[in-house]
Amino acid sequence: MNITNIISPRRLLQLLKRDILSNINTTLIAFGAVTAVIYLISAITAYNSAPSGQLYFTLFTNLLFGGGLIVTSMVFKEIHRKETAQNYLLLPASNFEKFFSRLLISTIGFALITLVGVTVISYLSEGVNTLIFKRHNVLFNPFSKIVWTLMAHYLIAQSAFFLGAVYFRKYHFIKTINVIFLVQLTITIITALFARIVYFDLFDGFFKIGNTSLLIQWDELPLTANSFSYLVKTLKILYWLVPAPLFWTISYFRIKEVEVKNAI
Amino acid sequence: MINIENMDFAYKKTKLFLNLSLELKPGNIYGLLGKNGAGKTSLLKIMSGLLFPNTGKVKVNNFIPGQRNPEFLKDIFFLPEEYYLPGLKAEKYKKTYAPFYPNFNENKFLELLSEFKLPMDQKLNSLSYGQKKKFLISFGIASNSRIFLLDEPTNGLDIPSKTQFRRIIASAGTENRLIIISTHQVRDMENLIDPIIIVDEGKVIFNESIEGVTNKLTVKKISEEPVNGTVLYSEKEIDGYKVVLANKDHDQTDIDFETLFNTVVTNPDGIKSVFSGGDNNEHN
Repeated sequence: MNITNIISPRRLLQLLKRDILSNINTTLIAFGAVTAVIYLISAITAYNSAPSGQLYFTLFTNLLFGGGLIVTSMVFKEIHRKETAQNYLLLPASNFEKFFSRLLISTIGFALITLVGVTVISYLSEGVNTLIFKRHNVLFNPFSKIVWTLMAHYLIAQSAFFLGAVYFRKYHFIKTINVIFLVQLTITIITALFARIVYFDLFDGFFKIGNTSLLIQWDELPLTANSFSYLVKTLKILYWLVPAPLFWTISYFRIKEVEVKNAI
Repeated sequence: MINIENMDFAYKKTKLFLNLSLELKPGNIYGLLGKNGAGKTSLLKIMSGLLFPNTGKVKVNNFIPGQRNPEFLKDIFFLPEEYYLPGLKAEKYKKTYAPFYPNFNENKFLELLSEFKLPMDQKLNSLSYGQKKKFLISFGIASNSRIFLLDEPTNGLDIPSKTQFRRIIASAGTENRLIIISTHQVRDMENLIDPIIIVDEGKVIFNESIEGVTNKLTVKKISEEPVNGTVLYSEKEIDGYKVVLANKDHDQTDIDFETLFNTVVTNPDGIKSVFSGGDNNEHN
């Protein structure tokens, strides 16, 4: 198999250019609107007697997760409409490049633009605030550990919405949230039932242990410190390593399978 | 160049193609005709990799279209009946999309845009339906793709544009290029398409060159209503009956596509018998 049939840097760059260009107007309008809103919030906060130390971190978090997950949900809108799907699927690039281009845009692309954007806006806004109000909010620090941890969490959440974007024809964002909620609920019920069966002798009622009702406290379970930390470690490893690669891989295979079926 | 063997295709439970086989060679402008819902568009989509067959073999330029290999895609251009053009001007569109086609001919593109009198300073999504189609035809020809699939290309074109279209397609039909035109507008395609493929009820029921048609069939005008079974097809006209017969006397008459299509669809067995060597004139 010829590797250039799967990925070619020249074609990928061209595809990235095409994908960015096709949404450039919406992106610029959104960027302008976000900049204006951020400045307004920063000016109001600076005008108050106690400027905020967390303002830009909060804005960054909301933008990254709110904006990023909405953008990710819409990243494959093109393959769900007959007219645009034909154009996109027949573009001479491989399925992998089509997948990878959108993945780059909605992961590293969006996260870095948000990071740089919020940093630049924070410096500009606070410069203006200092001139006008003689005081300013704490500047955004793009190098803090928590910012980068947040970005790593974003990648995990993004992967689920990326799969939703490929899988659902309409209302990608809402449907993905619904599915996540259902999966979470299912896991909770299964875990509760599992605990109820395994630790049956601890329960007084259906879900009651001693004085604690409904919620089971970890420390009430007969787990040793070692086994508990082992469990947490395992779950953490699973969280960081499994969902994102799994959802991205499924998304790729789903893209390969896309057909334009709604016409004879 | 295009080889389909024993292909089945269905939309959920609606079977469209059953055991369909077809071989198409470069250097031809094929006309793909069929009734509404016969599957012309679906067949083009299968050839281009937008739909996947359920069973059977489909090979285009030795590629499996459904894999959508970039080497395959750069050599195929599909103009669908309904299409999308982004809010870009012609020049920007060319800069964005032309690099995907290594053999793109910029001069040819500009020449065709000028021939179709398309505005360069207008965004493509604000053009009329016909103008958009002319733009895509220009881009497709300039892409120098070896396979050119056109679905109802003359729909929405005004009369002068249809003439331009015929001229442009005729000149684009080189010996290493295969063009397939799926259409209902058979009159627009006279003197352009050859051979003619007719699909009906999930099968290719006719695949012949114009020369073959002229050699095997003849059209006559008679005043009396033909007796059942003596002709392949008859059609009442103001001054009598137009009938299609097996060409036993080696006459050289032209048969228009509409009459040919009606003959094939209403009397497929009779046509099959004539083209497979028999000369029965059976009327439905």
